[in-house]
Amino acid sequence: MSKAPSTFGLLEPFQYEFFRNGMLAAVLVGALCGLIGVYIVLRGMSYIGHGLSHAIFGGAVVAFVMTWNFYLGAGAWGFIAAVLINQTARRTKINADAAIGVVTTASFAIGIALVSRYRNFTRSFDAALFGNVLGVTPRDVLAIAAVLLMVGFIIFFGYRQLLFSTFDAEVAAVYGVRTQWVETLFALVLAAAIIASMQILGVTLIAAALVIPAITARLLTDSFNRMLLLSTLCGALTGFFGMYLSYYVDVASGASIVLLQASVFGAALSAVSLQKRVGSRLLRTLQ
Amino acid sequence: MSGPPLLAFDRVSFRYSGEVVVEEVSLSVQAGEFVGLIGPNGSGKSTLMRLGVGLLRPQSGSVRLFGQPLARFREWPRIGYVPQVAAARPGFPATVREVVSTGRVGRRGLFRRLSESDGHAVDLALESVGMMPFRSRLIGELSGGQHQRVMLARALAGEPELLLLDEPAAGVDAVAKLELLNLLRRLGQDTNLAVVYVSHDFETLRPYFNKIALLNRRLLFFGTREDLGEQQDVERQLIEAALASDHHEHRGA
Repeated sequence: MSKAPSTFGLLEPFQYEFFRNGMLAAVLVGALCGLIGVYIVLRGMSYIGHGLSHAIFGGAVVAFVMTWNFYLGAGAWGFIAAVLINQTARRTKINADAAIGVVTTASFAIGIALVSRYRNFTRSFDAALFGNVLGVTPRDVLAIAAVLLMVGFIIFFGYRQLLFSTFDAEVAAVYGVRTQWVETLFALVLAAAIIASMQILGVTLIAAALVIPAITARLLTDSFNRMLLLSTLCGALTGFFGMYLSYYVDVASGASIVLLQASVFGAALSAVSLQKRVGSRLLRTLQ
Repeated sequence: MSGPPLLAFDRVSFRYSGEVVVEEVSLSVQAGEFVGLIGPNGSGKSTLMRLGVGLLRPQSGSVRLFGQPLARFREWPRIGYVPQVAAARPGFPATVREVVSTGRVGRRGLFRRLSESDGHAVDLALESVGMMPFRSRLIGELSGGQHQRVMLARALAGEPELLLLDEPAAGVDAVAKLELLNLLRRLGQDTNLAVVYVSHDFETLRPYFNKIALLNRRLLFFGTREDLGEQQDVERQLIEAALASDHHEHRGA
């Protein structure tokens, strides 16, 4: 049942602790995915977010079954998956997209196999797949904030190294950029970001949150700097308003955030196309 | 001549899928030399360059940079490299100046931001290739020739001692090509920069090189321009190889 917000009722959801935690987490996750998404999109790796989130699902189930710490278990699993993809693509004749297909689906299948074998965590399984804002704790919010800070630090200080290896990875190595290190760091950061986002967005929707803000920002600016800022802002704002939407329309938080992002992308695409059309018509009139 | 060669190949061989691309090549480059690496298409020039900068590892023989074996070499800022086919990224949102400034990252290391002196070196590099007026343009908006000049500026921005250029004038008009050659010659004289310039356009470039390496998988000749003049048979071999490769390409097309 959906709820209609009154003028003063906009603050109403904040009386619930779960909403406050969820809102904070959604804004941070949105910003985090927006920031990393720029590098993912420009490296032509949009598929990796999708694949790695599925791989990490396998890791999360293994961590659960083995009673390991979720963040460490799933994190290590995701990192290993990312490195495996990288090394398979680098050292064999197999392309990165095929390597992603093999490594991540195999990992996801391990998760499914364990879930079907141990049938006692159906609810956690749903939450991991589709996100569950009710389960966000202050500890989760802190973990997401820590990942966002780490990513911000790496991007601020490693800006040009990342720019170079994104633009021209092979030649960057000749210029002294430790591309192997950069790739490893990137895999680590991506795994951390996906784990941090799982609770809010769910495995199935993380890829969209990694890609949509970045491509929206790309439509709106030609500057790498501004693209980073816009994409982060777009992710954070859609996280904020997506959470509101989720509360009032009564749908899963991940779905409302991603649908809002898709709408913003659609609006940006229309605005840019319209601007181009008007611009070329004006030019023809002037000529 | 003092010090070890900046780049030395010692009996280097390389095969792609069993086919020999570079066979037993030995040559060395000293500071201040302008070496032309000439050969027909498919003669192994680009492979040799890639072996020289460590993008490929030789299956036999050894490569040394500044006297050190390639595997141990870490002083990458001393080298500038412009590949044959520079990354064409039409939609990449970076300006010309931003791309050129990445040529300084090797000097800064991880997590150290570029300083004012880095910015100065970047501007100088842009000036030297005549791309200063384009500094705010997006890299994807440039023509092929302009793109190559930006790649050269990126290499020069790092203030290298050894510059490896793989067909840097591809897509560049005749005037710009001569300007580039004059610039490289001047840099060699002023800063003792060593340049290895890969090309198959022998006749235009011949007067600029003080050493010439003729390659057709094997090294046919390596020496000064004057020495080559006395070895007409080597030139003839190369021309025949070039004609054979062109003929082969045309038939393939």
